[in-house]
Amino acid sequence: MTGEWQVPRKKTFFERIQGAFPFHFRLMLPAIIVLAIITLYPFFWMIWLSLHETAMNPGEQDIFVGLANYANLLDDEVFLNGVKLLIWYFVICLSVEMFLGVSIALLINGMKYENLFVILFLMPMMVAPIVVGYLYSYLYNVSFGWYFWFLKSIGFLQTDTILASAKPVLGFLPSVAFFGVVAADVWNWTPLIILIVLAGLKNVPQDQLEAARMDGAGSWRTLWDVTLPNIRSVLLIAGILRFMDNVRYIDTIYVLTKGGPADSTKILPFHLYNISFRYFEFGRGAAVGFILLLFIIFMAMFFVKVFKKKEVAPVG
Amino acid sequence: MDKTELVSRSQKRKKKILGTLTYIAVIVFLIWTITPLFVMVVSSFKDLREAFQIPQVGDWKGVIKFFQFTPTTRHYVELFTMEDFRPFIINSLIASISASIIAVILGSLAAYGLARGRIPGEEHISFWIISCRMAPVVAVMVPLYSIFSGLGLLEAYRWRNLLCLMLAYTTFSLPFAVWFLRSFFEDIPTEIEEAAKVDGCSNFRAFWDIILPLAKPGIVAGFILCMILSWNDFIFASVLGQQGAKTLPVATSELHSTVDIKWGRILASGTMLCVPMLTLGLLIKKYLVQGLTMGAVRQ
Amino acid sequence: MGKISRRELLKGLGIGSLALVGGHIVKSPLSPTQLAYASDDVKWKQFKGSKLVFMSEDTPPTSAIKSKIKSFKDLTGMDIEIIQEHLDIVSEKVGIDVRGKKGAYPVYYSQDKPIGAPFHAHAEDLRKYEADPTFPKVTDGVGSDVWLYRFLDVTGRFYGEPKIAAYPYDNAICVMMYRKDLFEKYSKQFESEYKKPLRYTENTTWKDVLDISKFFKKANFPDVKYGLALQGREGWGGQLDFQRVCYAHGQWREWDFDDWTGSRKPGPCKWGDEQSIVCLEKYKELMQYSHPDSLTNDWSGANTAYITGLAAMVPNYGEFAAVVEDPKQSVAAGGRTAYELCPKGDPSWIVNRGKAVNATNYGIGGIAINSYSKPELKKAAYLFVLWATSYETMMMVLKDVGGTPDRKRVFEDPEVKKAFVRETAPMKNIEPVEMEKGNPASRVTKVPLMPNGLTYGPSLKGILPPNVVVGPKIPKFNEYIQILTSEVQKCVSGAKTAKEACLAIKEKTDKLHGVK
Repeated sequence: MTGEWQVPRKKTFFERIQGAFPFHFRLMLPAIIVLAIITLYPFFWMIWLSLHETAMNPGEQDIFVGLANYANLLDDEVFLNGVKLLIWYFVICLSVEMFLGVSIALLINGMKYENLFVILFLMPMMVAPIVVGYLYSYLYNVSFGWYFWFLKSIGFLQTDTILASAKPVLGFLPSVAFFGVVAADVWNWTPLIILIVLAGLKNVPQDQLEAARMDGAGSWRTLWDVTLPNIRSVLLIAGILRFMDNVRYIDTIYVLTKGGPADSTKILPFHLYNISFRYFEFGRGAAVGFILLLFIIFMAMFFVKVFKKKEVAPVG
Repeated sequence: MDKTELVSRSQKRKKKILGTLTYIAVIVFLIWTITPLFVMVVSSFKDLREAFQIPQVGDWKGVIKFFQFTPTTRHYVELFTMEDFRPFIINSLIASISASIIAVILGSLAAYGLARGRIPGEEHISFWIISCRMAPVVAVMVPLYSIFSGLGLLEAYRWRNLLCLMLAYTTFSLPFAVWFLRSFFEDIPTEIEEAAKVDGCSNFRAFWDIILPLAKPGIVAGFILCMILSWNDFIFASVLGQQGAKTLPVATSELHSTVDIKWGRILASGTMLCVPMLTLGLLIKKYLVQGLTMGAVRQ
Repeated sequence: MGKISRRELLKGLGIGSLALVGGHIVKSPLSPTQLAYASDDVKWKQFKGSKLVFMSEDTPPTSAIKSKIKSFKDLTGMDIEIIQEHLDIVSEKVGIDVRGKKGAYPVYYSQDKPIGAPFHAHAEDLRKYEADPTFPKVTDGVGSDVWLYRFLDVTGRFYGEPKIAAYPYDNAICVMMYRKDLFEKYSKQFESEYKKPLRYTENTTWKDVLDISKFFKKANFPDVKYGLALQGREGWGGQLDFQRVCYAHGQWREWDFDDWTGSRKPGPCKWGDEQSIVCLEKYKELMQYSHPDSLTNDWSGANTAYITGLAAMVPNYGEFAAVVEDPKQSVAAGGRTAYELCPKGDPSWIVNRGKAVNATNYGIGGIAINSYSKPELKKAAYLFVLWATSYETMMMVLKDVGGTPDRKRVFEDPEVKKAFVRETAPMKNIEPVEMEKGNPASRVTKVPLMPNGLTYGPSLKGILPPNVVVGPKIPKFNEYIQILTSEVQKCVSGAKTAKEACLAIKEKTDKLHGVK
């Protein structure tokens, strides 16, 4: 019985480093480094830029204005309108997309032709948002648009135009043109929700479903008590993913309405685009961009908190 | 005995009605989904005046007008002869595929690390990663433009412009890949690695040889989603792509010329944009569906 | 089947070489003194082997030049890559380029107000090259007089500086296009209702236009639903559209400074005064009776409404005549369309005691040189600028794709003069197209060789005082037009009264310019 028990030798330098960075952390490093390089610098640059007023002519310097760019935003009617419209936009888009996505996923889950349906339903997501813009502007056009013709023929559309109507729907909601844009977005991205929710549904433990059936639970009860709680994290992922893209993409609006008519589709990201790339006021643009970024981050954190809290809530 | 029979029969009927309603709802949604694409594809084969024909409002019989036309492939031909779309397709492919590969490779490493590791501040890192994707595109573009310009990537060499696009696409593909794949890795039970380690595998080998193949469907699905997001991008390509790396979406937007909106070519280009993605989806259908049924494999 | 060489394979894949996509320069072996005394031919070829990049709007002259680029190569030995983008994208890219001092586009399209007004300081002063003897001479030269009335001022001179930032390259002058055939057809009906003939002449006022629109909209004929198509879109389209109504009535402008010069500090504007409110009210009424998409249409959308037969009149830019006269795309082709000056102001709508004029506005695209490009590249670029704006090139473009020439000499050419009037215009044969399906009598077999020529009669009158309005030439033009069109759209959609909208424009514009 030679020394089974040995004095543990001192770790080598290499091993010590390995210890400090656990294996799993090391795996994450490449991604973190790449992301840090590409995102940290622009982030600080953006903050720096937002504190200046950019010079228009050659030879002029950027002027440091402190928080003036931010203060002026409170006065900027287009900015405030943009924020209001942005909230409307993601609330409506997200609720419709989540509702439709979850419903469809639930409906086709386990169906005979499920695979076929999945392929077909996935198609709109594959279309570039800019092409969606052109496609819908072709469909909504008063002169030759089939959707316009259809909506008018069934009497659903009250106004004579879709994209040129700034009339608020039901008096307080955003304009008809706004809903036209929302419809295009819903068509384009609901498949993403379907895809993710369907994946989650497959993960619902069979034993729980069996148990529910044994207990004689009807389909609604099973849905409410078993299925939905199990896909909660999946819903969160889908919701946040969609939220992030919804408030960033302006491709569709750019083609369909360019923010009009009467600013009724000028959500904040679009106003940001105008400031930076039409007026070339990069300082102002950076200020708006920073605020938008904060807004998105806070909303995302809010969603995560809400969903995480529900999980902890006692059952029954 | 009779009562239960009656009850079960009415239950059966209820089930049947529900079943039919379900089918109807799905079919309606299907029609709504397919119609715009159908219109786009069919109209891309129409000559312009015919593409502008719609019936009067309320004239339902007029729907037949949609199908009354002489098909022409003129627009597609023009896309290649007059607009020279071939290099744009290549550019789109190169930029999206390379960005997606990087995103998926780095992303799966990071996702696994997040899924398994018990690192302090893990949730914060995870949130930071995904918040990289939250930055409004326009706000990020100006500093990115200046960085890339400083690196000389905006010089008019095709490969530099493509590299530039690839890096830009990675900024939003990588966070997405990490987040998406994390749940796939979390679903794989830790028992598998522990069994492997007992057998003498190192951490890395356990990951590389055993876990990765299990997660392959999820990785493939993630790759495809990254591909789609990059392929469809417009804003980054239009500003950062410069002339060397004009992608398909940018080229399509240019068809909206000043004097006439070349609807025919726009519709044809739109159709062409979708086809590769659709075929990709069809080819990898098996992996896509498998990726979706990852959980079922566990049983 | 031999092996495909790697080069061919790469070429086939469209990857090509590590292709240098931008410009590069090959300097001339001759010294400047030698060049100064050389023949024009040698001067043209002094940068042989070089390559340029031209960032242009997707406009017909550029398309025509692109197709005839071989003649540039033959003349100078230079290659040029011509990029065509939508105007917004050109503006964006040029803006980013000059703000970043990159110089990636040695030659760029400088649209007078959207790009010229903010960025003229970043463009080369072309007088430097005009005085340089090493450059060849072009027919007529490049002095102020060879271009149409004050076009050089519009594209080249800003804010009183003597510098010339760009030469005129193309133009888009607004004229009224209307369906002569429909006017004749429904003349009797109109006359019985409105007690005046259904006619459009240079004395037709905006009120007449309003009456005609009301007539067509109410009548709802099967072959035309609306009388008028407007273009009220956010941005430049909407600003120009509304400006025509404003200026026609008493030559109303928002500022009083000289529009040809422009102003860096415009001071308080006149929005909110009585005339502006009246004009906006009338514009709103016009919108009510025009094509429903008018608020979201720009010039392309308005044109589409017209060529699909949904509108009987459209004030639009001359370059669209090429599309309007094409029977494959347009139901208004085959002699059905006539062109005339934009409508005159109606005396009953004028409250500021000014004149009633046929307000005409336009966009003159200039061609400018990027001051951040390398010096030799800029010189080579000037050769292209000279060539692209020369008389010979303009004639070639005109005959090819529907040109929009800027030189006076072009309009003195007898062939071009014949093209002003449909009866004498030279025609070309095309495959017969039936204007009415199933009616062989409606077959069209010829189209005008220079369709834009039909608009020259009215446009040449429109660009002269008192009809022409060219402002406002201010550095913050792009933001100003967004403010303006936003408020106009709010008024037209009923969210604000005309007075509220005008006052809002005044408040925001004055704030923009730092006026307390």
